[in-house]
Amino acid sequence: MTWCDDEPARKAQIRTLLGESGYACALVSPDMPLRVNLTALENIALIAQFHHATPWQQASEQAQTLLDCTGHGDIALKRDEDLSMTQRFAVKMARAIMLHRALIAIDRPALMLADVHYPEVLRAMLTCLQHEYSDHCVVDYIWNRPVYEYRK
Amino acid sequence: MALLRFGFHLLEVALTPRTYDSATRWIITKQIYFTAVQALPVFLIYSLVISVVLIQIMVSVARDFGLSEYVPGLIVGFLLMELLPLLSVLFVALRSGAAINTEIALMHVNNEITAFEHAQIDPARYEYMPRVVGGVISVLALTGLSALSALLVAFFVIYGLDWSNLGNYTHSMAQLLPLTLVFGLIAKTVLYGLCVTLIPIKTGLEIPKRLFLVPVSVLKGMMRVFFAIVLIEVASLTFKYM
Repeated sequence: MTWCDDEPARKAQIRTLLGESGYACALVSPDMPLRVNLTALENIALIAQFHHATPWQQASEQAQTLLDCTGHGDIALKRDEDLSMTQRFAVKMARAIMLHRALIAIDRPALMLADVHYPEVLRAMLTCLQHEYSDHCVVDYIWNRPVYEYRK
Repeated sequence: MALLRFGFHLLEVALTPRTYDSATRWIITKQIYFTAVQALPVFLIYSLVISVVLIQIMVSVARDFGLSEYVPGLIVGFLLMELLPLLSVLFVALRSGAAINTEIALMHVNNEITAFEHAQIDPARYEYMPRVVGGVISVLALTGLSALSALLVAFFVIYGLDWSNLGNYTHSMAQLLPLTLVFGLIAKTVLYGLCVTLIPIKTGLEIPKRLFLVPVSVLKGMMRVFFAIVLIEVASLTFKYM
C-alpha cells in the first residue's frame, strides 16, 4: 500500500511508479477508461492482438480466462456503460494483466469501487488473480486508511 | 500543414505490413460495413432517383433543341464525373464524417486515447488509419456503384428496352471514358475520401478536453470538410477546363 497526503503527492507517486519510460507498470486507474465501443472481452483481447499479433480466437480465450478468474466471466459481451463499478474494475484489472508488466499499480480504488466496501472486494479480486501477475501496488489517500482496517 | 503531416503519418502506418493484425483488419472491415454496406440501399435509391430525373431532363431538352447526339457526353461529363462523386462524398460526410468527428472528440475528452497510449496501442494504427482506409474505400465504392447504375439508367432512358443497342451504347460510352478520365475520377474520389475522414479525425483531436466543446468540434470539422470538398471540386474543374 502507498498512502498519499494529497493529489500532488499521489500524482508524483504514480509518475514514480510509471518510471521514466512511462510504461514501467500497468496502471488500473479511473483516468484509464475502457474503450466504450468495445465489449469487455474486446478491451482485454485487444492487448494481445495488438502486441503479439495473436489471432482473435486465441486472444479472446485468454481474455475470457482472466474474466473467469475475476469471477465475472458472464460480462464478456457487455460494454462499458452496462458494467457495474466492480465489473468495470475487473475488466481493467484483466486488461492490466494482459500487458505483462512487472507491476500493476491500482490508483484510487475508492473511486473505481465507490459502491462497495472496496478493500474487501479488492482483496478478494487480487487473491483470485494472484497467479496471473507478478506484483501489485495500491495507491490511495491516507484518509482512506481506516477503511482498509475495518472488518465486518 | 498539420493536417498534411497527420495524413503522411497515417499513410506511413497504412503502408507498414505489421499494421494489419487481426484487430486492425476487423476494425477496417467494420468501417467499410458501417460507411458503405449499411448505407448502400438508401444511397442506391437516392442516386438512382437523381440519375433518372437528370438523364430524363437531359434527353428531353437535348431532343427539343436537336442536340441528342450530345446527351452521352453530357451524362459522362456532368453526371458521372462531377455530380455523382460529389453526392457520394456529401452522403458519406454527413453520415460518417460527422460520426467519426464526434467519436474521436469523445475518445479524446474521455481519456480513451490516453489509455491506449498507456497500453502502448498506437491509436493511429488502431483507431485513425482504419477509419481513413474504410472511408476512402467506401467513397470509391459508392461513387463506382452510382456511376454504374447511372450508366444503366441512361441506356434505358435513351434506348428503352431495346437490347440490340447495347453494343453501340457501350462502345460510345467507352470512347467518352478514356483511361485518363477514369484515373482522374479515381484520384478525385480518393481525395474526397481522405477529406471526409482525415479532417474529422484531426478536428476531433484538436479540442481541449472539455465535454461541452464536442459539438463545437463537430461543427468546425463539418465546415472544414465542406470547404475541402468545394476546393477539390473547383480544383478538378479548373484542371479539366482551363
